[in-house]
Amino acid sequence: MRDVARTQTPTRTPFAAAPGISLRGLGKRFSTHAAVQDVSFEIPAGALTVLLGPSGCGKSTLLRLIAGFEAPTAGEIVMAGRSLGDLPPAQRDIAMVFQSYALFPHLTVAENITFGLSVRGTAKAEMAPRLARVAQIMGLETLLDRKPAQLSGGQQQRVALARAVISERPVCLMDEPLSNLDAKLRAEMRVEIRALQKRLGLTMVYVTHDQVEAMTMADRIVLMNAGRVEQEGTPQEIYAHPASTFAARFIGSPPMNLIPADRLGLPGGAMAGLRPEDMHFAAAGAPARVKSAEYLGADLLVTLDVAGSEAVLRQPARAGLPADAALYIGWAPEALRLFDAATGLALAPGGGLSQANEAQANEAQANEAQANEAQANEAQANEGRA
Amino acid sequence: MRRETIHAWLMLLPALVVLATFMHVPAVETIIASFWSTARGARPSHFVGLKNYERMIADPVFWQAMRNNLVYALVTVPLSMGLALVMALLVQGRVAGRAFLRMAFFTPTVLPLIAVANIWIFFYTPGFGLIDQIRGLFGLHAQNLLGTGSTALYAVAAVAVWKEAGFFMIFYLAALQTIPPTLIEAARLEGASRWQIFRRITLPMIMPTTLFISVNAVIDAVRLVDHIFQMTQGGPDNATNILFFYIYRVGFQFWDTAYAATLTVVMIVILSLLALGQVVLIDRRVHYK
Repeated sequence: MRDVARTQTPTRTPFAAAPGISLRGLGKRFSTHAAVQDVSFEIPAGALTVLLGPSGCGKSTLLRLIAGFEAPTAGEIVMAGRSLGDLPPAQRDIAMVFQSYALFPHLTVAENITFGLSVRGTAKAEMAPRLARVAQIMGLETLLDRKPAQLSGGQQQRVALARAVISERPVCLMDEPLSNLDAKLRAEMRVEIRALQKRLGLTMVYVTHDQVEAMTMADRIVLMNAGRVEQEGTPQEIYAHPASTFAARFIGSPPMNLIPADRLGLPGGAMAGLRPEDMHFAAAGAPARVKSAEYLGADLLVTLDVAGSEAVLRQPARAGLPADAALYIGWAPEALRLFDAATGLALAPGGGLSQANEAQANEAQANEAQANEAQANEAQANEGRA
Repeated sequence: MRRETIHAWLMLLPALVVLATFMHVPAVETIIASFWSTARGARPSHFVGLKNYERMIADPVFWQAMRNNLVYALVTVPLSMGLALVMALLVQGRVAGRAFLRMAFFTPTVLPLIAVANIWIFFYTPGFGLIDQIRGLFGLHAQNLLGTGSTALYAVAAVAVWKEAGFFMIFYLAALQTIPPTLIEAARLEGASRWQIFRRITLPMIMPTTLFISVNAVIDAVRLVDHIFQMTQGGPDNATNILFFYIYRVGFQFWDTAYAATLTVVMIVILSLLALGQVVLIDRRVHYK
């Protein structure tokens, strides 16, 4: 059966032309509040883009706008060079995996997977080999006759994925697909979904509130907060150069320490950001006191009181705790990030704006910005992209 | 006996006593009574074997009541269920005046059937009833729908449909609300049309409710006769005489209780077989969560 399936479908290269998607000035107002405001970014073709943010930040609404379940109240979505407008979901050439999986409880696994093909009138002769192939990819061959209620959570998840894959649509939207699974299964499915996305070359938009999922899976992360894009970039960029205190606190576990700069003996007025692993005990520097320690096996998380601010330091566990309760901490100067104390936006080492942050800064200062400053920013922006 | 067994029986006792007193004992007594004659004045009741059943088979009014009841059921069951589903689908989604519509559809259920019958008598009144007034607007002549043998049964069936549909709608509405919206969205995304979604998702998922309603509708098609008392008294010429109404007449107007018991046994057997058949037949195609 599998061999037949392979020989019958060699000419199909279904995902070859996965398009990218651009969101331009997208907004969605509900009667009482704005769920999404002025969102613009690019979803690159054939890559995995994660929409990350706390609950209520608008990431799911954004996904539903892309899917076409909701109509935007401002802006437009452009896919493969054409604006999607009010095109119904079925005609957008997208597949979607729902948080609840949305499996049809009265249909078998096989019927669930082929539901879309069957309502679109695909011939039975074409359906069978496609089902066999997808079932094999997803490891569902022995479960095809079962009903969803007879499957474990992980298996249901696979069926939902299979339903998206069999459609051979090049864009796949995923709405918190792993949130109903236990931790171990979640870790396995992360790897599996990422491998599937790469293997099929899908353009995938993946919504999650779990920063670990975002960091481990994403080609690009779009961090959202209160309906707006807080920061976008690769996981490395966002981790190393958080654009704001929000991004600094949201990404990383434990998150970046934020300490008023004067308490570290730095010029005042700003907020200093230090990743726990960038701090170390030192013979001199900022005075600190050990409050508690958490042993993680390889690492030791030490909670410190730094002149009244709490901070967490991460060091190899075998280094042990210093004998003195009162001591000093040091840090690598290049790891230090500074944020404006009032706006929370990142400041570049020289006191200006950091590279990762130019978009927000442009927005925030748009009104006061003079022509030459704008030019400078643009130059900086180009640098950043390069 | 173990403590738990005693406890279990004690828990069951109240329901058991009530059910036995008002259902099981009378049912058995009815079956016994159907084999005895009716006591008349000086002649006490005596065992007659199957005589009452022989009389029933030879009784043309019994057969007419059976035929009438079959037609009555074939009209009221599918119509009230279909109408209930249509109304439920109508007021389920976002539609202007949804609360008002729901209330309007449900109102007939709240009214007693006797009151409903009186309203419909006004509708049907020849010459100046609502229906004839509307007919008059189109230049059609007045008609006595309740007084005509060929239309009377349908006229009383219409009242039952009007009364029942709103009640069944509530069950369908509840069932429709339990379908997760993401299922419909997933189907829409796959390109399913509204009809495909209805036939392949909605309808199968409300099948348990459909089964429940259909059993109730069939029972009601036999049981709901109040309006017949009010509207036609089984006439004209037994045209609206259905089984349950006939039993009442035989039992409490002619005081032939033995024959009434015989008819009751037949009615209960038919109802039991129908319910059993429905459950066995449909249950196989019903998906339960």
